[in-house]
Order: sequence, then structure tokens, then C-alpha cells
Amino acid sequence: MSLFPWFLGDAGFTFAVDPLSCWFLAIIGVAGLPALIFAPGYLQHLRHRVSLSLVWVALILLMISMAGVVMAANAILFLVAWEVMALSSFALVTADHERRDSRRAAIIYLGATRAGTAFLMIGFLWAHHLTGSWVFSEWGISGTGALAPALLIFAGLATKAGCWPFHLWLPIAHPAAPAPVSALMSGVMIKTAIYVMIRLFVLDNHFVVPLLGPILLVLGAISAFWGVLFALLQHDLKRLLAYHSVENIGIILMGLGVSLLGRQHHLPLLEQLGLAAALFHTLNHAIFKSLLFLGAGAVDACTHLRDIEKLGGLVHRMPWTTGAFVTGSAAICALPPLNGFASEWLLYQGFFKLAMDGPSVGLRFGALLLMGWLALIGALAIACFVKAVGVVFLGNPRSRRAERATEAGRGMVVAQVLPAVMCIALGVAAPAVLGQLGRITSRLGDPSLLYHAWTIPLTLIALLLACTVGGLAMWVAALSRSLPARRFITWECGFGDLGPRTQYTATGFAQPISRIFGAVYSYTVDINVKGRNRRYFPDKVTAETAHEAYLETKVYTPLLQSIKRMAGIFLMRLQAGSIHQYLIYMALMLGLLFWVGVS
Amino acid sequence: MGGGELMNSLFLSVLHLINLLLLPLLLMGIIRKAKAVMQNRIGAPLLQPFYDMAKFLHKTETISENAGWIFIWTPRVGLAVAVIAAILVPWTGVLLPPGWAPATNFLLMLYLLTLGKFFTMLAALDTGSAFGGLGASREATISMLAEPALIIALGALALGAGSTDLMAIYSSPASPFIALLAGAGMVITALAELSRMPVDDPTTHLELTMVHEAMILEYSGRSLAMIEYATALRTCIFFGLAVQTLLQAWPVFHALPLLLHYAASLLGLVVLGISVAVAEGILVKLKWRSVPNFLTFAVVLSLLAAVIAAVQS
Amino acid sequence: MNLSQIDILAAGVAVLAVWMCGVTCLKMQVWGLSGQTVLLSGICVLLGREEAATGMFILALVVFSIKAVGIPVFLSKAAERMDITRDRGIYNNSTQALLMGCGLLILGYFMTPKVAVPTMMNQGTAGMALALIFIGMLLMVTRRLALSQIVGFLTMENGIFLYGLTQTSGMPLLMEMGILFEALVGVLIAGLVMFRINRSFEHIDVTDMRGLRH
Repeated sequence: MSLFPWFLGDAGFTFAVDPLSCWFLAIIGVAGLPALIFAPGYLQHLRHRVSLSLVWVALILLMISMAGVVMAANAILFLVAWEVMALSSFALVTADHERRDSRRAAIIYLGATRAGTAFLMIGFLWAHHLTGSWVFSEWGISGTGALAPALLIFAGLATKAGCWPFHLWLPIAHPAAPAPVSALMSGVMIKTAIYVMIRLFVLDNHFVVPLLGPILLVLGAISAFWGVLFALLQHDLKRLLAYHSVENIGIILMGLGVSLLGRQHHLPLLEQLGLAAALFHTLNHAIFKSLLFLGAGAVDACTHLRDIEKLGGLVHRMPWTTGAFVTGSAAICALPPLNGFASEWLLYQGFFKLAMDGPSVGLRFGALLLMGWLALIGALAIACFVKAVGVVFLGNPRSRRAERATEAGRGMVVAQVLPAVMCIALGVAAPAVLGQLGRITSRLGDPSLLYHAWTIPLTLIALLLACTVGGLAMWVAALSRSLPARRFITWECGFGDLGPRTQYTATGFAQPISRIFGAVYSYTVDINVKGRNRRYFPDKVTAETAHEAYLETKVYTPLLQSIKRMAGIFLMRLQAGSIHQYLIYMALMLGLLFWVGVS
Repeated sequence: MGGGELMNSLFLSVLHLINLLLLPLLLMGIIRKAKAVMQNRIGAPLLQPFYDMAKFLHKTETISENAGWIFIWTPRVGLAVAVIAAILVPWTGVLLPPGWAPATNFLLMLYLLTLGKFFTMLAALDTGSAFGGLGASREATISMLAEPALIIALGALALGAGSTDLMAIYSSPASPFIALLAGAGMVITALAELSRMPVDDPTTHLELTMVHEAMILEYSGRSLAMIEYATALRTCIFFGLAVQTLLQAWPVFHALPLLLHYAASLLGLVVLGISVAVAEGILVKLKWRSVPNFLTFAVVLSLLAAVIAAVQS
Repeated sequence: MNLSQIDILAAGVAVLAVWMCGVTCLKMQVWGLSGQTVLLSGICVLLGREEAATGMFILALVVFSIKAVGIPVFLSKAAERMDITRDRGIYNNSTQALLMGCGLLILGYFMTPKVAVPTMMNQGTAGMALALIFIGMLLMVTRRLALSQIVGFLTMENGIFLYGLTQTSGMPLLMEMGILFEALVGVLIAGLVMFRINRSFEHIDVTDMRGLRH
């Protein structure tokens, strides 16, 4: 479809909607709807600091531009929509601009997105130079010349998606935005980068680069591990969730890598499995990540606290939020019969098929290793979410504000229950989702291969589980008529009612795992004992844990410092401050232009 | 032979029911008795776990005031998950009718058991007790190291069988090396998952030795009965899987008729139980900081099995 | 002949511009600008009579009223309000400035053959237009006060306008008007800013504003 063909030069306002775009439009709608339902209730508690009209305008622009990105048929329109998306999300990140960390986060986000878009633009220009056209469907680049533009485009997309090592902006920017915006950004916006990757690299042979499959697999594996490891160390609920976005993007990229490897080695089932796993996980992540972010937002709105070390006991005060959050956590930890398990099972099957049919011993062993890696990541995610749910919602409240929390408003509760129900529904009805995915993967091969690959009776298991739990509940209810349970203080081995300070803290919960992986981020614990007779009668004991992100301190910070220094050296000399000097520059430029034009 | 098939499947169902009802608690009894013999005492009677179960059902349950719905529903979810897994997983060598094979996918089964573990860890934190946090934190660490080992070991076996369904894995022949290495890895992983020695001492309530006991500290009465039964079922499942894997190394195993196959598996299970009891008597519990190294050993065994499987396939 | 008449007027414009280079009295500068624009509107009228296009007459009227009358009156009133009469320039030496202006005029004359025009009769005028642009830049660079710099800017605009007139078959009338109104708006904004600068700093001497950098 082409509107106003004269508008954007020779590229035009062309849209193309095919099953892949439909899938991503569905993601935008399905994940965006809860965020938009949540927004009015949430913004009420921010109304003194935030300009509501700006937020709403930017939200609507964001949704429109995201739809534009997945529907754009040519590179120019795509870049326009991409930039509008970046700018509107920037406006949303700065919504709460009176806080200093919001401003800092917004600048970092702007810098990262500009850098990513720069790479993307160079890649697109290169592709245009190679093929002579701006329209995506006319690109078919292969051979040695395809590697450089493909890598540039991938670098730009990886920055937007939050893949290691370009992920540093994500845990800074996403928490700084208001909760519904974080849900949209983390759940939907980073998926648009995945859409472009699928369209250019996986479907339809637009870029045939054999090296890309292993690169995607390796980077995806590292991102997944890195994200979940750092998530364990966070005590800000939203930052924790942002690191989990990095993890899940890693999982999606692993699926894409498997698909590309399948194509490279002519294994049609593997191609389809990898793509189906990646697409399904994209949908699932959009749903449960927005659910989790909305839950964090509800907690923030009702307690005005984001630090999980000060929360606790919210299960009695905010029951609906807790229920939805627990469902979301179970989904993200890939527990059956929810949707997270369905997509991770597909990925496991992809790895297994790679192990079975892979052409070389190294590839087969690597695939088995990746199965174990995925299990490791899953177990780390479970640890992280048990920590998050346990410390925030369960136990005793650790501060006055947590004690006084009340359930969130009706709009906010509905906005959380909706995705929770979707999580369960998508998990139980996974074969139906696979039917839809078959329409997209039919471009790679025969979709019946994919349908036959789904062997597990997840619906049956879900039904069995529900019946068994229900049966047990009824039996217990029958027994309790004669012997009812009683409520008393927590036993704690006879120590009794000790109060909230003796509960496990989040830092303490994560400490064993943090210590095991301590070398990765130089985890140090500093214990200070103060008192007159320190050994036997301490007055005060403080324990401080510290960790350092090597990527940030050893790579990015020195790079940015050296850029600033060079800018200072050169620019300071040029900017003399004298208006005459600037006018002389202009006159010289004018003369140069004349000379060039006339000769 | 329609009648023969029917008799066969009826017989199988009866066997399976006996497995589910009698074996778990009996196995726990055997282990305890063997440990008592190791420690030169008479010990409790062999059927003590049954008596314990009856006792729990008669006692009043005390629930902490801080506990919410997670604490109350966890025993039910844990037991349901364990029962479903025990029905589907072929831990005694008794295989279900072939139509059920897809339901025994090892990824599905393992993650189903993880569902139970997830809820148990949450319930531990629900009461607001420090022991619960300790237990949950350590359980999370242990499972982080144990799950990859288990999945890689089962994956290596599955590579030989060509499918990730447990029934297919255990009905197709496997190379002895893979079976032994994977089986050894699975035994160590089972010790970790079930919180047995040397990872955790199931009989004490000292803070030093608590992982599983710490998580279920606040449970009493009916809920404790459900949890203990679920633990017994899980013991059977994990030990049963390890035994089945180890028995795959015995070339004659597949060719045995059904009853001998079943008897051999049961014998293997009992032998493993007694060995575990002997180990509990001999070994001392590992220092907490050495537990990751121990589990890394299991991962290494699984990786070796995986390498051999990758080379051979 | 019309050809030589237009050339004479264009030459007059250029000479006036060169004269403005050497003048320090602000009133004279503004008058010079006014004179340039009067001659420009004369060129417009001649061209209009040559091509029998009524649009050119209207353009001449508009140019006369805005740039020959309106803006110079505004600028001289501004100078009176800010109580300034002289602009030393950054050289303190008007001979040097005059010589440089002359040099630029000759440069423009030599660039004449290289400039593309649709008809031969506009060749010389286009060269003069280029010269006018250069001289406008020179005025902006060598003046101290913001007001003189506005005058220099307007001279440059005159040069562009003149160049546009030579491209009779190229540039449509709309663009000429566009340039004109752009100049008008530019001057208004510059005037506003100038008043503010005067109020903040008590002077509009640009070289003293170097201190703002730190």
C-alpha cells in the first residue's frame, strides 16, 4: 500500500502487512492494552510532578510509531518511525524530570538510541548502495559484501533490543520511566528490533550471512546469563525486571540463532522450530513483562517505595497485585502449564534437534551444552523471582510505609489481572498459538513439521494439575471440618515472634549465588564491627556488599571519557566566543562553497 | 490378541498403583532402617513412615499468622505435582502404554517438579521466619547447579534414543559409557535435589544443616503429611530415574520379560536406597561452601556423557 | 538601451555598497542601505517594463516600501533610542576597509563570466550581485555594533535578491517574495534581540561580549 508517494523522496509512504507484521501488531496491542488501562490510575499519584498531557501525547505517539515500524516497507519510512519511537519514549522517560536520576537516565537513553540508530542508518545506506533500492522486499544481499552491512545493522538493532554488550542503557532507562511506560518499553518497544532482525536476517533471504547464526547464538547465550546474574544483585524492583528483559532478549536471540543455523545446514524443521520459539517467546515476554512491570508500578504507587529491602507483607494488603505478580513470575520462570514454559520448551526442542542432526561433533555437543545453559538460566531466574516475590510480597512488612499499603485502584488491578489470565490461557492453548506461528514459518518450509514437533500434552497436564489440586483441597476441607487449623505466631524453632528485622533480606537471599559468580563482577563483602569490646560486645555491625560491572567500568566509561576529552581539546579551541570569529568562519565557508560551485 | 493386550494394560495399571501407594513410604522406611543398622541401633520399624503419616493426619495444624494463601496452597500444589510426575515418569521400569509416551517428556516432568519447588520456596518465605529464608536461599543455589547437570545427563541419553520422551529413552538401548556416566551424575544430582547427605542432613534441625527441613519448618498436621508424602514420591522419582539410567548399562536389561524387568528395577532402587543410607552413615556433611564444588562434579560427569553422546550419534 | 540601464543601476548598487564599507557614521550606513534598495527597485521596474510582467511592478513597490523605507526608518529610530551615532569597526581605519571592499568588487567582476545566467543581458548584473554578497559578509565581519551587522546582513540580502532577479526564467516570483519576507522577519527578530542586549549590557558592542564564553 502506498500513500503520498512523493512525500519521502523516491521511497514513499509504503506499508506492507504480512503474517509477521500481524504477529508483532498483535504483540503491540495485547501488551500495550494493559499498560494503557493501568496508566490513568498510576499517573494520578504522579500528577503533581508530571505533565499528564505530555505523557498521554507521547504514549499515543509511541504506539503509533511502533505500529509504523512493524508495518514500514522501506528503509526511509522505517527510520522515520524508528526515530519518532525513540523520541516519544525519550519524552516519556523524562516525564518525571524533577528527579536527578530520571534526567541522567534520559540522557543515557538518548545517547544509546542515537548511537544505535546511527549504526542502523549506515547499514541501510550501505544496503541501498549495494542494491539500489530502499524497499526491504527488494533486498537480497549475499556473499562477502553482505557481512559488513549486516553486522552494522545488527549492532544498531542489538542496541535497541538490549543485547549484550549493548545493553547498559536498558537497566538505567527502563526503571526511570513511569511504570506503564516501562511496561511498554520493555514489553513492546525492544521487540520491534527483533521484528527487523527476523525480517531482514531470518525470513526471505534478504541478508545471507552464514556467520550471523553463531553470533546470534553466542551473544544471546551471554545476554541471557548476564542479565539474570545482574538481576540477582538488584534491590530496586524495576531494575531487576529490566535486567530480566536483557535475559529474555537473549533467549529470543538464541532461538533466532538456532533458526539461522538450521538454514545454514539445510535442516527445515530446525529453521522453523527456532523461529517459532523466538516468536512465541516474544509474545510471552511482552505479556508477562508488562504484567510484572505493572505490578511493580502498583507497588510503587501504593507504598511509594521501590527498594525491596523496605517492603514485605503485601500479600495481605494487596492480594490481587500479589496474585497477578506470582502468576507473572511463574510464567517468566518457565513453569508449566504457563506460557513461558511453552516457548522455552520449543527452544529446548530446537537445541535437541540441533544436537541430533547437527553436522559436526562440536555443534552437537554445543547444543547439549546450551540445553544445560538454558536450564542454568532458568534456575537463576527462579532464584531471582523467588527473592523478588518473597521479599516484596511475603513475610512481614519491613517499614512503616509497607505496613500502611492498600490495594491499588480498580483500573490498575484489572490491568494486571488481564495479562495474568492471558499467561495461563496462552500456556494451556499453546497448540493453537503454534497454528498461528505456522503461518509465519510456512515461508521457511512445511509448517506441518512444526505442528508435529509439539508433542507434549500441556493442556492435559494443566487439567490434571487443576483436578488434583482441587481434589486435595476438597479433601483437606472435608478433614478440617472435624479438625480445623489454628493460627498462631511463627514457630521458628521455638524462637517465636521475632519481628520483621530477623527476616531474610534480599541481599542475604542472593548472597550464596552472588558469591559463586563473584569473579564475574568482583563481588566483595565488607564487614565492619564497632564497639568498645568488638569481639564479644559489638555495638554495631555493618555489612556492605559491592559489585562492579566490568563492561561499564572497563570499557564504556573510559571510552566516553576519552571522547569527552578529545571534544574538549578540539572544540574548546574552535569556540573562541567571539562573534566576529564565527562570522569569519561563515564567510570562509561561503567563499569555499562559491569556489566549489563555480569551478 | 485383544484380550492379552487388555490384561497386560490392566496388570500394568495395578502395578503402577502399587508403586504409587506403597513404594515411596516403604523406600523411606528401608533407608531409615539401613541407616539405623549402619549406626548399630535397632531403629524404627520398617513401616514407620506409614505410622507417621497416620499420626500427622490426626494432629491439629498450626498456621503462622503471617502466612498467606501461598503457604496454605503449597502442600497441595507440591503433592499434586509429585503425584502427576510419579504417575507419568517410568521410575520403576513399568512403562505406560505407548500412547502416553509424549506425556513423559523429561523437560515437562522436570519443570513440573520445579513448579512444586518454586511454591515451596515461596512458602518458606511466606511465614517471615529466618529459617525459611535460609532454606529457600540455599535451595535456590543448589537447584541452580543441579538442574543443568540433570538436563545435560538426560539430554545425552535422549540423544541416543532420538527423542526427549522418557519412555522412548528407557525403551531404547544406550551405550554403557553414557549410561554409567549419566547415571552417576544423576545420583549426585538426586542427592542434591532431595537434600540428602552429603549436601544436607535430613534428620537434624540445626541451622548448619538445613535446606529442605528449613523450608518446611513451619508446617504441621495435614500439610506436613502432604509434604512428607510429596518428598517420598520425589525421592522415588529421582532415585528411580538414576537406577533406570544405571541399569541401561546392563545389556540384558531390555530383553527381560516384564516382571523380571520390574523386579530388577525394584531391586536396584532398594540397593540404591541402602547405599545412600550407608553413605549417610559414613560421610560427613559438606561445608556449605564446598557444596557447589560437589555439584560441579555432577555437571562434569554429565558433560562427559554428553561428549560421548555427541561423538557417537 | 535597457541593457545598459540595468547594468548602470546594478553598478550603482555595488558602488554604494563599497562606499558603506568606509563609512563610520551609522546614519550614513542606513542611508546607503536605503539607496541600494531604491536602485534595486528601479531595476525591478525596468525588468518589469521589459517583460511586461505586472508582478515585477508589485515586487518593486513591496521592496521599496519594506526595505527602502520601512527597515531604514526602524533602524535609525533604534539607533536614536540607543543613543549611538558612530561605529568604529574593528580596524579603526576606514581606508583599509574601503580598499578591501573595492578588492571584493573586482573579485566579483572577475567571477562574472563563470556565473550562469539565462540571457546574456544579465551577465554583468549577476557578477555585481555576487560582489554585493561578499561585501555584505565583509560588513558583518568588520563591524563592532550589532546594528551595523544587521545592515551588513541586509546588504547580503540585497545581493541575493539581485541575483534572483537575474535568473528571470528560473526563480519564480514567490521565491523573491519569500526572500524578502525572510529578511524582514530576520531584521525584526534581530532588532528585538538588540534591544534586549542593550538593556542587559548597556551597549551593543559585540567584541566586548567575548567574556560571555566563560
